[in-house]
Amino acid sequence: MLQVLISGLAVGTIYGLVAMAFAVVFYVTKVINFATGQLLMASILIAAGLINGGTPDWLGIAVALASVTVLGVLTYLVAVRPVLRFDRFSFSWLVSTLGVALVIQAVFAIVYGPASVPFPRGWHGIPVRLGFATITVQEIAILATGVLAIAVWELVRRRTLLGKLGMAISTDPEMASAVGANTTAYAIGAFAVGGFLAGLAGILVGPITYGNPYLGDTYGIYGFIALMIGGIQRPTAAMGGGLVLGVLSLAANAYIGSQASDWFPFVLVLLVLLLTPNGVFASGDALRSTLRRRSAFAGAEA
Amino acid sequence: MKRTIPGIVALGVAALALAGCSGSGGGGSGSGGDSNEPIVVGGIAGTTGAYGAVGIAVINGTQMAVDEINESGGIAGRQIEFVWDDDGADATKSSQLFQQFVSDGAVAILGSPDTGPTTAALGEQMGIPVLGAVDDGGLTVYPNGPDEPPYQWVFSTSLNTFAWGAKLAEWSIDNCPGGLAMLHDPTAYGLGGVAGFETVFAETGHDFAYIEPITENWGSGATVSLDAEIQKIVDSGADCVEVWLTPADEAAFMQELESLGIEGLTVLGTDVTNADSTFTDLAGPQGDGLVSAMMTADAFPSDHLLEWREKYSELFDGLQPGPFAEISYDAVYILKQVIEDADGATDPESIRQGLNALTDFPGLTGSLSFSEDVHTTINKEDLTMVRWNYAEKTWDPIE
Amino acid sequence: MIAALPERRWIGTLILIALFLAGTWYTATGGFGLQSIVTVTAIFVVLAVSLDLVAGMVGLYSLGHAGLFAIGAYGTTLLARNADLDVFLLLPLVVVAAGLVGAVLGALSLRVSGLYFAITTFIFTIIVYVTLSNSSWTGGLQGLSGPLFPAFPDPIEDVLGRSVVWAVAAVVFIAIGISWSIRSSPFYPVLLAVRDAEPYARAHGVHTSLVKVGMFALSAGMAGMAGWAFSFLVYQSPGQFGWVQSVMILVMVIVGGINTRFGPILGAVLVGVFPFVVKIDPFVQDVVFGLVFVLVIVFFPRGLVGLGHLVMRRMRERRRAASGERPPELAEAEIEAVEVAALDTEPPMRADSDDIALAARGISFSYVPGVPVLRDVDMVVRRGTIHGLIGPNGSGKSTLVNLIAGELRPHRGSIELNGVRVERLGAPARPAHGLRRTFQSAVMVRELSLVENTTVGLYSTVRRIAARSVIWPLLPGARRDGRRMRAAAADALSSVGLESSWHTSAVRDVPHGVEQLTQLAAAIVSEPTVLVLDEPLAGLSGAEMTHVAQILRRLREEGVTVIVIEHQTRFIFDNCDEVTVLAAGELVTSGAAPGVRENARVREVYLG
Repeated sequence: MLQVLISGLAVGTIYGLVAMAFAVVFYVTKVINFATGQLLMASILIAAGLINGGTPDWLGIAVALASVTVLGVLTYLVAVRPVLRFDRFSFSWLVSTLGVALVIQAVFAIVYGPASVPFPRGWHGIPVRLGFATITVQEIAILATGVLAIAVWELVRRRTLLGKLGMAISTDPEMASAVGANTTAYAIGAFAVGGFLAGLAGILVGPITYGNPYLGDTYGIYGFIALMIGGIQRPTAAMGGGLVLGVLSLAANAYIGSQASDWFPFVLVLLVLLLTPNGVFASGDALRSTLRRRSAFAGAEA
Repeated sequence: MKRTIPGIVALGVAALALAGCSGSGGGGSGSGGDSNEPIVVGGIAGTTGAYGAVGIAVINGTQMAVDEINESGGIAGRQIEFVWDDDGADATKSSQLFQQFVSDGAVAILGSPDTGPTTAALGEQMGIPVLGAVDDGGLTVYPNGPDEPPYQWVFSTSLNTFAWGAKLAEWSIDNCPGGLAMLHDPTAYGLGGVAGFETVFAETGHDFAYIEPITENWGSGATVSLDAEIQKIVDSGADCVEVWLTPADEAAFMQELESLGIEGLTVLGTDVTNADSTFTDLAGPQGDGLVSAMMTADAFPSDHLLEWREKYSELFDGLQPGPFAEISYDAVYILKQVIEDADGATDPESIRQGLNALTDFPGLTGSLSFSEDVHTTINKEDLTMVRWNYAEKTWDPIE
Repeated sequence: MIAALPERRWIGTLILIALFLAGTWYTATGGFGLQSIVTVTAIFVVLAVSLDLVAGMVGLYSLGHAGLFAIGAYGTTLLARNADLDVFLLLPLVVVAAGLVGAVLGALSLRVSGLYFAITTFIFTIIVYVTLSNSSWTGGLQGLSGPLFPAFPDPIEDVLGRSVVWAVAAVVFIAIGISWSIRSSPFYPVLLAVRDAEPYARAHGVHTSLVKVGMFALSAGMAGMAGWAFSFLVYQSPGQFGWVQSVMILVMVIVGGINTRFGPILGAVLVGVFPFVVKIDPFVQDVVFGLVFVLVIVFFPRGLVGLGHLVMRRMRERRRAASGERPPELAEAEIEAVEVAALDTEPPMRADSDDIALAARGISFSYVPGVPVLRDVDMVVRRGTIHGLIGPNGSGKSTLVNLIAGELRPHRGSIELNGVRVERLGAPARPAHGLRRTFQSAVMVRELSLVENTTVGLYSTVRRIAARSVIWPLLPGARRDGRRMRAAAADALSSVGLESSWHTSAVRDVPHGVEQLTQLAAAIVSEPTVLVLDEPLAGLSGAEMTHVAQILRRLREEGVTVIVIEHQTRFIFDNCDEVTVLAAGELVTSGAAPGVRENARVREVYLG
């Protein structure tokens, strides 16, 4: 039971980081970057390629993170900005970011080959026993990173001018730019942060999963589901969604059957959507307001 | 009218492009034929995708054989025209390619290692011989199980899940006193392995200590978390576990065992575990000691095979061939023999009968035969048990 | 009757049909290769067209169509195998099954909207996929081969070729036929109104919930039909019906051009034909595939049809330059003065002063419990009068209007329209009792013309528009109704001063004042007995306001009861017979205009 919780939280943090990557981009630009999973994959392969080729670990990781941050920004400039400039409410970014995802995936398949590439095992090979369960140092690092990510995000959002401007842009971009906020700079920043978070998730999960050009879709989908569970409005809620998804998937595997993780997370999301259409952790969800409204009809007002 | 013109123009362009590129001739498969006409052979394999290396090996092995045969005069004096494409492991595309090659006049289709169920079903439906790397044999060729007759038109020279399952089952009975646990995936690949085990267990009265299907991400190469299953396996008391999953998941499993500090569990592999270096590359030192089976022809390679491997590496930029290339090479030469034995007849029925009559064909992968009831060339008797030796980087034969 | 339709349109359609038949014949008598590519692409076309019905026309972005497709394909295969039913019987069965599921999904769209609805449908696809993969009776991950389509008898086969190609062609024809029929019927502006301006649609009697559910069911049935045909073409396995396919169908629609005649077709052809036309190294092919999407969308945000329009425009410009023509000048169309009585005439006294058109009594309402917005308000409007409703900000005017119109339900009190109690009826039911309203901020369908937007006002007066829309051009009675609706709409527009050169302009291209007048035209085209205008003067110039006053007076002459809510008190007191004043949710006073103007409390509330 403890093992399920620990492993679930660890893998959930990875999903949460991907979900945060989606959420940060959505927060500022109201766009879902379909290439986010591919950015995670790119970071794993770049790091693995460099480290396996002899580069020191820290340098390989740094280059990988920097590269996907840049890739994220490029995605915005090439595939998203032109679409939004044409029509702020169009959904065409769905197709263009998907196109970017396909291109990244195919290019990496050409460069690294389609087969899986090993990632240095590093801290994942160091287990720590906690009673009946075991956690590896890598998993501890993952959990710590998740906490750090939320802390940094909340700090920036609430305490800095940067964050406050970000909130303004998120709520009403036209008004914000009317008072002088540079929405383009913020959008670039958002895509950069999104790329960085996805890349970070990749580095953290690499020792556990190995690098392969095609795993973008898998992590992308899980991250997306986590986003839906937690709530698309706030990146912090997205991380929460990831944790929930991670623990419940593994629990379903352990207690229902090892194929339960195929359907359980999705049924869960469906229930969440029908009961609390804005996500479990979002503010002002329909469930609460529905309960409130019912009581209004129960007693007539003067 | 104005609004419809752009639409008509665009559709017209698309239609012309199609007509030019699909090369449609008359319907129907190649039959008989003029002695100067090439013999068309179709190839379908997943050359992109997470398991693209297998598809690439299949195509390369086939191409190597085709080029050799063409250089030495072809089949019954006719050159082979090898047409192939990537099916991307997609059943729809595979169906379309199959039908396209048939209308190009293909006398046989080689493949597909990824969409075997599709090519097999279509071959059966259209009466076209399907040969070579048809998935991993097993349930793809014998859709109703190992005790029932196979598809009439499908002949696999490929690795065979039934064979591996049976061989490993026998080994486990002798070497796993505590019992055998099994994790398998729910595709034809995994279920074929289970069927292979069960053919032996049915006779000896053994059973699995624990068995569980695990859904995997074949399309993406990502690994699944197996912590919960590892716990259940340990609880079942088994001292061996058959991990019939993708090589990447097998590697992750063995590494997870180390992370969880579990010792004393012998891990068994599958037909593809040693087909390429995916498992060995990914598992690292934690993969040491994995037990699996290998084609005897590969475990004790003849000089001829070693020379062949060198030649393959030269032809294909230093790539190591692996069994999928070997079996595809054999398939082409088998086809050549069958057609020549029938005095050059290439109609489907004559090829089919010729294949059914194939006996002791000297292939790279052993002495190969088919019969009405046996449509796989690699069977239990053709395998040797091996163990992975990380220190030497070799698969050592055991027993 | 046929001559009544522009000849050119019929010729264009006949040419297309001829080409279609020729193409089908060429494919059916061709090789297997060509057949397999064309037929599978044709199925993609049907799927894209079906998705465009809901995503393009109603704004419901669905990622569930692969699941609906699966119901059709697997349904046909399993029933053919296990129940041994004739394949033609299976078609209506799977179409209805898919349609029912579609209706459920459509109903879900009422609960979750926008992005969340897309996610819900996405999950539906995944649930279908997981069910198919894990059930042994569906063949699990390995899949099953579908039934064989019965071949033509030999003599026919020699001439026409393979029957399955003709079956697929029939399916495509039906799908495109339905989609294009709806597009050319008066139902199309209604659908777009449901998409862009739901309150506007509801105010004109459109049961928007039913429309959404119904369209989704239609779209789902079409996807099921595609599945039926697909089952004869390929070996089926769950991998062909996953979320990737759902996303791909949406991609086809967007890349081709959403909500256009040819867009979904072009998008589907691009995706279906690409792998067979671009024969290069498979890895590079994937790169090119992705690049195509990015480039098309970045350079042609409206999709591939945008490319077509660009080509046409260039050709036209070149032709014009060659012949020396000049581009047509945009005539500054005038708003014509309306024929009415002069402004300084006394409003006629009504003899039947007891005929009440609208009576709201004892109305109480609050949005949030404990904070009442309206407290025990009465408003009685006599027939044939212009009745003003005024009050400072926060007085509850707009709420009262919404209660009268049916967007809200009062907690207490009654609303009687022409003597019938209507407070329990929703907004779409009120037009049937003679009530029409306009909105403060005109929200209509920006991409459609003034005439088309105005015809929405007639939706509830013409029988069975929705049902007939799927085969509209084939029904002479329907075409007649369509012509009459357009003529009536044109008359209504003219009667508010917008003469015919305005009629075909799109709403997004006209000034605000014209938009407001169009809204008014849509409200009067059905000849209502009670008209409610919510702040009709917002954003209008002085001359435009006078124009509106003239229109109202003419309406009063015709016996229409008009209720006007306004901030512009001068306008109200100049034009209304009676005025009701609200403040802070309570009735201040109500009565003849002169008296109300002099009322001390009114002055206090407004000017104090």
